[in-house]
Amino acid sequence: MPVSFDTEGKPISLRDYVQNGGKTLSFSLLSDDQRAEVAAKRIEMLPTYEIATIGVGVVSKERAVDEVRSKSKLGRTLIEIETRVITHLIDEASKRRS
Amino acid sequence: MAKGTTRKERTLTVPVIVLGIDSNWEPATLAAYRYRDKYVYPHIASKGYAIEKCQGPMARRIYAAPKAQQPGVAYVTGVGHGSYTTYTGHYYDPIFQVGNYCAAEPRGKIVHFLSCETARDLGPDFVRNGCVAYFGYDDDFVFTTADQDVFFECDFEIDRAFSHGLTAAEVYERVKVLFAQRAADFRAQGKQNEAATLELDFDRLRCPSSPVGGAWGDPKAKLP
Repeated sequence: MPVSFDTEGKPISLRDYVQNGGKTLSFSLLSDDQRAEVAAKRIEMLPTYEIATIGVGVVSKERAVDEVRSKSKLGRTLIEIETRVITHLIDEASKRRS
Repeated sequence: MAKGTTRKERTLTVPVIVLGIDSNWEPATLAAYRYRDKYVYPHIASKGYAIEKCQGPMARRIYAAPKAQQPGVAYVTGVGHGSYTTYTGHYYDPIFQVGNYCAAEPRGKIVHFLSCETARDLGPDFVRNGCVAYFGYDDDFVFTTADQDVFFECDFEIDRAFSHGLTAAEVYERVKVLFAQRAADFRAQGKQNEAATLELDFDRLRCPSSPVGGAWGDPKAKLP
C-alpha cells in the first residue's frame, strides 16, 4: 500500500518510505493532488471496501475512488481518513526504528 | 374568587418522555435504525423514561413536530439524513429546519441526532431557541458497513450516558473514552481505516463541552 511517492513520482510503500528517506517525498510535503492520488490508490488496493455516511448512504469502492479523484466533499473526507491512517503508520514505523 | 377562598388545585404528573425520530428508507439509515431500535430505546426505557417514536413513514414533520411539543418531552434523538440547516426524516422530509420550526419544539430539551452536518447550523439555532444541549456532527458521519455496529455503539453512548443521569459535560467525557477505546480495538485488529474513520467522526462531534466553544448549549444540562 502506498504512503507517498519517490522523487520520480512512483508510489512507495511504508517500508520504502521509512528506509529510503532521501529518495522519497515526505508525506507532509505532498500536494493536494498527490495526497488524493495516494488515497485513491490505497482504496483501490483494498480487497474489500464499503463505506457509508448518514449523508450520502452506502458508497462502493469504485464510487469512493471516483469521489477521491474528483475531490468532492465526500472524497475529501475519504482523503482525510487515508491521511490519518498514513500519518499514524509513519509515526509508528518511525518510533520502531528509533 | 371570593376573598378567603382557597383555590382548589390538582397536581398532575407527566412521564419524562424521550422522543425518537428515525429514518429507515435507505441502507445507511436502515442499519442505524435497526441498531437503535434493538439497543438504544430498550436501554433508555430500562432507565425509567417513556419512549415515543416517529419512525419510518412516521418520521415526518407533521407527526414529529406536535410530539416534540408535548408536555414531558425532555430528550429528542434519532437518525436521519441531514444538512447544515436541516434534520430530515422519511425520504428527506424536512423535520427540523432553520427558520422553519417552532421554538417550543427544542425549548428546554436535550437533542441528539445521528445525522450528517446538522451540528453546524441547526444545533446552534436550536440552542438560540431554548434547546439546553445539542449533540451532533458538523460534517458527514462516516462508517464502514462491515463494522457498522461499533460506530453506532459509539454514537449510542451519548443516549446511554444521558439516560444514566449524567450532565452534558460528563456525557462528552464518556463518549470520548469509548470512541478512543474502540479506535484502539480496531488498531489492535489491524483495522487502520476503521480506527481513523472513528477518530474522524469523534472530531466532528459538537456538543456543549466540545473544544470549539459554547454554541451547543449548557455543559451542566441533564435529564430529569
